[in-house]
Amino acid sequence: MISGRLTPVHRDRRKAAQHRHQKRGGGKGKEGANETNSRQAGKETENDERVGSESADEPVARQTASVLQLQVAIPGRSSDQTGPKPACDAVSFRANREIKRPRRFPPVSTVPPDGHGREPADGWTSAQVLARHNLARASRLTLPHHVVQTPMFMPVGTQGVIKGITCDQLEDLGCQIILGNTYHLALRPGADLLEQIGGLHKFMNWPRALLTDSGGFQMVSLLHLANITEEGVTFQNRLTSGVDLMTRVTVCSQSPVDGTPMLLTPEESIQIQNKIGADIIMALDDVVKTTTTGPRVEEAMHRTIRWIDRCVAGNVLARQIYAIGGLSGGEEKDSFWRIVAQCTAGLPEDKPRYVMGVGFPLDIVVCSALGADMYDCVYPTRTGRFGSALIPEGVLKLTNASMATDNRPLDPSCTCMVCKKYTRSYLHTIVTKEALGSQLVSYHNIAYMMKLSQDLHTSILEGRFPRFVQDFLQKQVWTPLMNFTLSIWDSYNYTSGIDKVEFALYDKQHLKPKNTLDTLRIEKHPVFSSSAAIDYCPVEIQLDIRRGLKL
Amino acid sequence: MKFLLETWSAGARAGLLMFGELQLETPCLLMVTKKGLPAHITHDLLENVLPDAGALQISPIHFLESPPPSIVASVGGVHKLLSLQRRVVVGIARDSFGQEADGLNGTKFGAAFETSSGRRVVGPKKYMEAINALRPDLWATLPDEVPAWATTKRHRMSVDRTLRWLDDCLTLNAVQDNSVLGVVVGGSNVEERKRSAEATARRNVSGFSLGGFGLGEIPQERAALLKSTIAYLPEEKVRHVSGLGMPEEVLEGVAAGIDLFDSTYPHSLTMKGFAMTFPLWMEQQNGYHPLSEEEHAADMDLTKIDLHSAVHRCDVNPIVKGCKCYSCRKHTRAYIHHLLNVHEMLAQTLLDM
Repeated sequence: MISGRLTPVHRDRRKAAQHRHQKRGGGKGKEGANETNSRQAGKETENDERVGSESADEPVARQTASVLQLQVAIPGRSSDQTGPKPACDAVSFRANREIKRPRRFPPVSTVPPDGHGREPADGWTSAQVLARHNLARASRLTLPHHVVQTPMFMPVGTQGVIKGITCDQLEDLGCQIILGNTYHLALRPGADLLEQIGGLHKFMNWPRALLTDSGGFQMVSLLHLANITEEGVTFQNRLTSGVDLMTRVTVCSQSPVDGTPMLLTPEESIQIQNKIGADIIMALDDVVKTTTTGPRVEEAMHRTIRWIDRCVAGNVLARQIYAIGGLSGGEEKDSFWRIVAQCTAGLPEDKPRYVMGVGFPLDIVVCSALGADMYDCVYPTRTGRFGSALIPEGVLKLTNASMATDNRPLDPSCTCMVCKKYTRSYLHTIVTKEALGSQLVSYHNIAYMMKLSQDLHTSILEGRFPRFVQDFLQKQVWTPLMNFTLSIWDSYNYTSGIDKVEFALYDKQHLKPKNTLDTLRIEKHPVFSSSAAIDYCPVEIQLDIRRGLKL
Repeated sequence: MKFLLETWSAGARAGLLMFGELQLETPCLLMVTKKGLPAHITHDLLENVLPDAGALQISPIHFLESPPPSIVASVGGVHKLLSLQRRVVVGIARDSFGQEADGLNGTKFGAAFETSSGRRVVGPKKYMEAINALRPDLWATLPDEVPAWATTKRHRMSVDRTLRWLDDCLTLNAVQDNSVLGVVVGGSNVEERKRSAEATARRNVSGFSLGGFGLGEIPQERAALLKSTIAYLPEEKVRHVSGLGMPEEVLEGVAAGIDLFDSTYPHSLTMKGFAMTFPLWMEQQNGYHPLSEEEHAADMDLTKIDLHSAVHRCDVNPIVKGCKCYSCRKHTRAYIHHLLNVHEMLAQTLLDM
C-alpha cells in the first residue's frame, strides 16, 4: 500500500536531473527522496500503482509536514518554483506508452473575453468554456430550458421523478439538469402519452433542463432480458418472460403496460427521446460490461459508431454532445482514470463531456481534473435511502449505533434544510424505518453533490482549483483502500498537470497517512463519533482493487 | 396556554388557543405524525400545507425507545429536536398509525400498545418520562381505552384506572403548567361517561380529551354520546377527540362542541391512492349541480377519486380545480397516476398534501 510520497513523473531526463539537483540543494527537507527515485528508475515494479512507495528502511525523519500539499507546476514560471521536481521513474514509461500525450493549455485561469465555444446557427444550445485549469474546465451550457454550469452533477430520476423529492425541492437545492430514462419512460407512462401531454417537462412540472439516456444502460443491467443484434435491442417485457427450461430463472412480473417484446433501434430510441422532449438526448450505444474482454468489445465499438450515425440521421432537433459512456460498473480504479484521461485527451475541446455513472465525490473531483464536465449517478440518492449520508469527511453511516447519541446536525457546514433542522440522533431513528427518513437523507445527499459541483465550477473559474482539490482531499478520512486511490493520483497528476501530491506521515512505524481507519483506533472521532460509522468504497470496488493489487 | 371562546351556536363553538405567540383557531385538525414527522411530508413542504402555525399531534408511545427520552431531553424537547418552534405540538397517547391502543389488554400497571417491538405495557411512570423529555405544548394523560363492546364491568375498571393514572401523571409532571388534558373514558355507557367526566372535571386539568372513540362504537350513537358526555364538562375548557375519521364525523363532533380533532383519514386515503374531491365551501356547493340520472345509477362517489384507475391516465387537470394546495397547483392527475403505477413514494407525498 502506499506508504510514502507520491512523486509525479517526468519523461524528460534533463528535468529529472534538475529536480535531483534542486532537491539536494534544499526544498522542504526531503533530501532522501531522490535516492528513492533513482533507485526505482528503470526498475519495473510489479505493481504500477505503488508509485513512490518507499521501502521500510527509508528514513522518515524528513517527513514532518502535516499537510497534504498539492503543487502546481506552471510551465514558464520558473522563478517561483514551488517545490522540487520529481525524477522520472518506471511508472512514467508505462503511463506514457498507454496514454496519448494530453494537450497542455496556457496556464491561465481567467475568463477569456469571448469565451471558447462555437455558437450553433440556431442559437439554441451552446457550450462556452469560461475558464480552464490545465485539463479541467468550467463552462456554461445554454440549453433550451436552462443555463447549466459545469462541472455538474445530475441526479437521476429514472421514472420521471427523483425518488421522494418534489420539483420545488430540487429547485431549492439548485439542481440544473436531471435525468430520465428512456426505457422506463417508454414502458410507463409511454412515449405517446408524453407526446400528447407535451413532453416530460410538462408532465412532471420541471422547469429546468432534462437529459435522457438512450436505453443503452439497460442492455447491461437487464442483460438477461435483452437480445442485441445489428438492428437494435430486443427487450422482453417482464410480463412475457417465463421460465426458460434450459438456463434462465423465472422473472416475476410486475406490471408493464403490455406484454409485447420491445425492439429498441437507434431510430426508435431517438424518436422516443424526442417525444419526451429532453434538452439533451443520448445516442443508443452498444454497451458491454466493463469486465468483458476480447472481440466483443471491438464489435461493440464499431456498432456504436454505426448506430450513432443512424441516430443523428433520425434526429429531429439538433443537439451535439460527446459522451464517454460505459464506465459505470465496477471496473478497477486504475483503468478507470486512464480511460477517462484518454477519452478527454482525444475529444474536441468545445463540446461538453459527460461521464455516465460516476458518483463518488472523489471520482467526480478526479474526472473534473481530467476534463470531464457532466456526471450522473444513482449513488447519492440510493445510498441516502439506505442510510448513508455524504459529508465532506466521507460517508456517514446513520444506522450505526454511535449515531443514536449524536446530537449534531448531519454536516455542520451544510446549509440544506435537513442539516439545519434535524439531528443525527433523530435521523438515526427514522432512517431505514420511515419513508421520510430516506427522503431526508437523499435530500441532503443531493444538496452535497450540488455544492460539490458548484465548488468545482467556482474554484476553476477563480483560479484556485488545486487549492480546492487539496482541501477536499485533506478533509476526507482515508480508508486503507483509498490509499490505493491516492497512489493513482500520482500518475494522473501528470496528465492533469498537477505535479505533486505529498502526503505527510505521522505514524513513523506504519508509514501511512494519519487519518486512516487503521490508525484511528479511537472510539470518539470528532466528526463521525466512532470509526464504525465511516462508510467507504462499496464491496465491488474493493474487490477489484484488491485483485489489482494482488493483496 | 390560554383558551378563549369567541362564538358559539347550538353547541358548536369557535375559539382561539394561544400558546405564547402562536395562535390556533378552533375547531382545528391536528396532523398525525409518526415519531414526530408527518408520514410523507418534509419540513419545507409542511410550509405549504400549514402556512400559518399549524398543530401536530405526536404520540409519546413512539418516543419511548428510539429516540430515547434521555436524548430528546438532551436536545431540549421535541420542538428543538424537530425544529418545530413555530408549531404547536400536542401529545396524545393514541397512535393512529398502526400501534393501536389494544384496550382489552391493558393491565393495572399500564395500557398496552402494539409497537414494532411487540406489545408494550406502558404505565404512567414511563409515559411521564417521555412527556417530560418531549415537553409538548399540550398533552393528554395516559388513558385506559377500551373498545365499546366491552362489558360494563370492564368500562368501570377503565374509568377507575384512568382516574388513578391521571392523578399519577399530574404528580409526576415536571413542569406544572396548564397544559394537561384529562381523558374521559367510559365507552358507550352513558353512566360511566358521566362519572368519568365529572371526576375528571374536578381535577386540575385545563382541557379534556374524549377517549375511546373510533374503537368500535356504533356510528349512529356517536353523536349522541358525544353530546351527552360534553354536557358534564365545563364550557370554558378546551376539548379534544381522536379517532373520528371521516369529514362527516368530524362535523358531527364540531356540532357537539369539540375543538380539537385528529384523524388519520387523510393518511389512510393516501395509502390507498385516493384523493378527496368534495367541495369545501358552501359557495361552491351552490354552483354544484346535482347528479344526473345515469351518474346516480352508476353510483359515483363524488367525495373522492381513485388515482390508481386508468381513467386518469391522460387527465391533465389537477386533482381539484381551484384548490390551492401544493399538489393541485403544481401537478396533474395523470402524473400522480403514473407515480402510483411505478410505486414511487412521491405519490404518497403529493396525495398527503
